[in-house]
Amino acid sequence: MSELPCIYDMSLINESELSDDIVNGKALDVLIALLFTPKSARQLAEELKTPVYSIKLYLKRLEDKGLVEINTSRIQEGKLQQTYRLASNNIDILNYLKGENEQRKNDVQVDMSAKHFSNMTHEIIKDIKNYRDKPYKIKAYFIKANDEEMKQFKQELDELFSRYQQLEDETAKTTYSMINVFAPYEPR
Amino acid sequence: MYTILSSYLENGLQVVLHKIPGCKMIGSGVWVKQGSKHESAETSGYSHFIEHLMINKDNTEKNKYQENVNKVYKKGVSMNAGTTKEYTYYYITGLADTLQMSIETLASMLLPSADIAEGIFENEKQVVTQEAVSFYSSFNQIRERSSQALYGADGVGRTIVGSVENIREAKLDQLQEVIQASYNPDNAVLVVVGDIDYDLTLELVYKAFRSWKDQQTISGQTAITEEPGIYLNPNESAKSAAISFAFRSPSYVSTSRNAVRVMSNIIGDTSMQSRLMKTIRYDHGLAYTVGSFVNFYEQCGTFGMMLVCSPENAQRAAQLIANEIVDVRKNGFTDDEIAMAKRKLETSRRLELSDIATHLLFLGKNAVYGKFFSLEEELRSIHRIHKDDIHESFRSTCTEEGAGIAAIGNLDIDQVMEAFEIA
Repeated sequence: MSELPCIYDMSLINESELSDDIVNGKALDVLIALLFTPKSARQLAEELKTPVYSIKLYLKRLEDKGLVEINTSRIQEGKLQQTYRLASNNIDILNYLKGENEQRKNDVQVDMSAKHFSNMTHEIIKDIKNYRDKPYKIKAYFIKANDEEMKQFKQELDELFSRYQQLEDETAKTTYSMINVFAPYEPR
Repeated sequence: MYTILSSYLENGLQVVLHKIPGCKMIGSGVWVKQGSKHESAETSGYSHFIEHLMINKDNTEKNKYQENVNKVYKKGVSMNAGTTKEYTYYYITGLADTLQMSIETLASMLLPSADIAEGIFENEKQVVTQEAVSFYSSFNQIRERSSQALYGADGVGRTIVGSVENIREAKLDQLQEVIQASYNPDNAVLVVVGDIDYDLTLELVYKAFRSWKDQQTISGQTAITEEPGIYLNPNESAKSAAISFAFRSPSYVSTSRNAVRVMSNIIGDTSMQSRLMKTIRYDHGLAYTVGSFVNFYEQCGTFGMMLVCSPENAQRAAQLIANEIVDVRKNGFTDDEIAMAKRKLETSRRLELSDIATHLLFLGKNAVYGKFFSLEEELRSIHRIHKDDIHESFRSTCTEEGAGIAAIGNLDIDQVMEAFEIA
């Protein structure tokens, strides 16, 4: 008697019933790590301090969900070398600094709102694959700048945000989101 | 003194002869460097299928072979074949007076190699398909899946029995193409062991194999992955899970091969009080089937620790195996453990010395890798393994960077990965 149904599939990872909510924990870390530049599984493993076999599983899950794809694939000295990138070019963070998005642990109020933003951002990024034919943009950029010039920029941002709000059309079918965080930042 | 003679015929066939004085048996075989690692996704499974076709004695396209097979069987010989990831081999063992007819039988099987009757092709297709389905329905596949996890779907990661779909859809001319590309004298090694006369044996080989046409071999070798990964095929309907925690290990030709064997024995030999048997089976009762294994290839190897357990025991078992790895890396093995494992390896090798087929297979494998070791030399190598070699092999092999996981059946892989903490 056989011990399990015959495995006909020749693929290395075959999770036929993959949960919709795979973009969390380390898989989300992988996604964020790829925002800056394409990376190999080994590079991701070193950066995230996670075994490379785990990274390969997360990459496959993200590939299956249409969020990540193979960037380059080449054979060198008998070994297959691959790098991975985000599946969409419209997700780019120009200056992502590792660890800088952590919130202050002793400030409950700030922590709660950060979690809220974090969860919303998580959901939005996760669903982007369903809306490839519609406009979207995800950006982040960290700079050292003059306070006075930043005050001026904030006014422009307010105006842009106001213009965004004026585009509201309650008869439209699609709901758009714009989450904006513009503030002084102190790395910890 | 042990002697091994290596020669080449004009057509490129390498001939390796090993004289064992006083031996009443003769072993002869041909190794063709065509295995699953030379296949593509489209030809996966062909090497093994070809082996079945080649040795089939009902092949009406090879009358001389049929005649020879009947003759050697009447003399009580054993004839067998096997396919590995790196080569396919055919061999005959029998009493000393069967040398000439054995060599002639091998020659009539391989020359001309691609002549295969349609009747046996369709019949063997059913047989090979059934063999593959049985393999893929069994937890025994976990060892090969470990190599897939470590090296990917190509190269030595490709399973030997290959794709069931390919076998079912295969056409005779497709297999004949592979035979034409690989079953050539310069891609093969002929080995003879026994109490032989080197000159007379070479003459017999020359007469039987000189007409093997020298044509170009087309190698289909494919690449392995840069880094190890995971093989995963979960199935909630299965009652159990088979899990292997595997590591990229030294190759067959590495000087530390036997040190890896010793450490594998200490960790998971099923017939002794190994670490895994004690921890997983006796102390915690988490699994009946548990153990370690090694697979050595020409350029790399696999050292694995595997078990078959119920879904609820998988996480705890993964944690305990990880703990053993961390403990050995930190504290090493005891002198008693090392002495016992070395002795066991030496005993099994000494027992093999009396088996002509083992001599032959050992020599054949080495010859394929361009090495000329006899089983007698292997004993010397085992004897001189030092404690430090074993610890160094373990520490350099059992690392997080070189680890992979293979898992099939009913389990939560995220829980298993989280529990397997060896950093």
